[in-house]
Amino acid sequence: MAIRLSRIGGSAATAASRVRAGSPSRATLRPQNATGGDAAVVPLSRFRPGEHGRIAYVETSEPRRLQKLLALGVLPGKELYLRQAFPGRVFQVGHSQFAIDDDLARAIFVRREA
Amino acid sequence: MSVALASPAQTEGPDYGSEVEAAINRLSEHLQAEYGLAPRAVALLLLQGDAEILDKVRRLDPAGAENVATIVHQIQSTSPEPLSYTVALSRQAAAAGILASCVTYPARQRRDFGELLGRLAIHPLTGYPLMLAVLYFGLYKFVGQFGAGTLVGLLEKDLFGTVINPWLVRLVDAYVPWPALQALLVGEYGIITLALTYAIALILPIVGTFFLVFSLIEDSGYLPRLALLVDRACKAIGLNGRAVIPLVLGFGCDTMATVVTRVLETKRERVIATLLMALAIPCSAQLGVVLGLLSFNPAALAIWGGVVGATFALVGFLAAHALPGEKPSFYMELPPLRWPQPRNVLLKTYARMEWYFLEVLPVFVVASVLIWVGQLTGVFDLLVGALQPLMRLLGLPQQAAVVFLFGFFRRDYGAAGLYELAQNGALNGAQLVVAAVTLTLFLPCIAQFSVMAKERGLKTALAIAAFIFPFSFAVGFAVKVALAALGVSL
Repeated sequence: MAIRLSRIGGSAATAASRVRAGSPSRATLRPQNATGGDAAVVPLSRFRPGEHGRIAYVETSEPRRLQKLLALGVLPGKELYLRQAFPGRVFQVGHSQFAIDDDLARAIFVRREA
Repeated sequence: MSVALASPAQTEGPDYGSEVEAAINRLSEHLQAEYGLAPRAVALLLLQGDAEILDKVRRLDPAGAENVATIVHQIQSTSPEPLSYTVALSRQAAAAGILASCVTYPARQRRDFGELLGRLAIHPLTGYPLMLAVLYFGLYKFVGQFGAGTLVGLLEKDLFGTVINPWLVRLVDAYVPWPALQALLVGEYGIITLALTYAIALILPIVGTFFLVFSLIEDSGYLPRLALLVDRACKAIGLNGRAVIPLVLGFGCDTMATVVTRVLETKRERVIATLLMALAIPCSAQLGVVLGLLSFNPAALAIWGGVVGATFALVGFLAAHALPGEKPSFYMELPPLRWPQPRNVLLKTYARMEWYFLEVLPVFVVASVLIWVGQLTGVFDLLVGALQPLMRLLGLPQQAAVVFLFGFFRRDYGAAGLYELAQNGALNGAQLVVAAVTLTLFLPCIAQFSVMAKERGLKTALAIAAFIFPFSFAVGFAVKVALAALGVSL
């Protein structure tokens, strides 16, 4: 298995993202090509175990939450695989597994992939 | 998973981009004080919006703080995304570059036993039984029965009780002429006979066995899985899964567990955990007393367990809704399960025992001195007198007041006192339950109170004590009234 990291060799500048306009109180990390009405993008809290996807953006009204997810390396563009949903959400990003609660799972928006 | 390490490549730091680099340089100029970190590291933390380091800059570099805040604000306002995100991305890219140059992965991930066990440990159907087994064997059998039972018996009764202390008592009696000083050193509550003996013979074996089990659970990678399993239950009482560490520890020693609430992130969670442990988590000494008194009476034991458990859940639930502050959140990495390295486990256990011993010993010595002063000045007699109306309220005999007061200072005295009362037939089954419930909910001991004041601040500690004191007696009273009204005879 090859290492799959979304931005090998890329600098921060290629990972274009912007704070969502009109809602300054919410901190959003969203790549420019992700559109709001994309039906394939759902919060991780609605993912089912066994589903794969790619993180589209992270959105939360609490900067500290964002900070926690950044610290885990949960960043837009990364591949994600949900292993289990109860009693907490267990997912895999890169070679690491993480457990988070429902509140944090609602902040991560993932584009479903087959 | 196994990875093959190739020769490490030339490592370069992350590329944050010219604007961030310029800001780092400008910030560094204003950082004159010693932070224990390189100015560049401090500047990066500032750019990521770290409130703690900004506070520190305001304190240590008051002259430059204004400029620092302006620079951070400026660059943040021109950046399209939070700087913490930019920094995280740059670091990820740098880390990925280093990894790609020196690590190759096997074509297929191995599905070994550790991986299977790791999945079973968090599966709802298998995870909970496994958790109960780990807690039963690791904590109840090893820490509770072997540590708090066998080892404490050997050290406290056999070594200190029959060899060391009698010898020291004779020595002090022979060479120290003043009775008051003799009492301070080797009296019933003396610095040697209470403080040192307790710290070495009672606390150390319990803490040592506990930290050994804890290090094993920690180093095997099981701990985050345990936290995941209990996270939902913890949320109901305003805590997150990580709180399993201090709460479980509390059954060994609430004093130690209060120190360990440091693993919790927010002040709110630390206060809730401290309150719940002081109130409704019986430490091994309290458990020993209660089990000893009630184990021959299953109904009484069940009522005690039910009342204390309900109090824990109710007070936790109310505290979670009443206390202001950030909601708890749970996030942890689940590392692969691994065999712990014996050397690491032993070193860690030793370091923690040393740390704990040095934290708790002064507290015990202070407790000894306080009791000594209380007895010399007659303050204790006054307190016993003040407790007697409360004993009448609970329907307990007058002598129980002495048990309650001294039990707060010295556990085995409280236990022995209750045994004696029960044996003399002074307490019936209902009275035993009332006494056991009240003593369990009451503050565990003077050491726990001191550590609470040290960790949470005197104001919070006094507020917790001011709540627990009347509350424990109120619950005891309610149990007495309920038992009488229902006509329960135990």
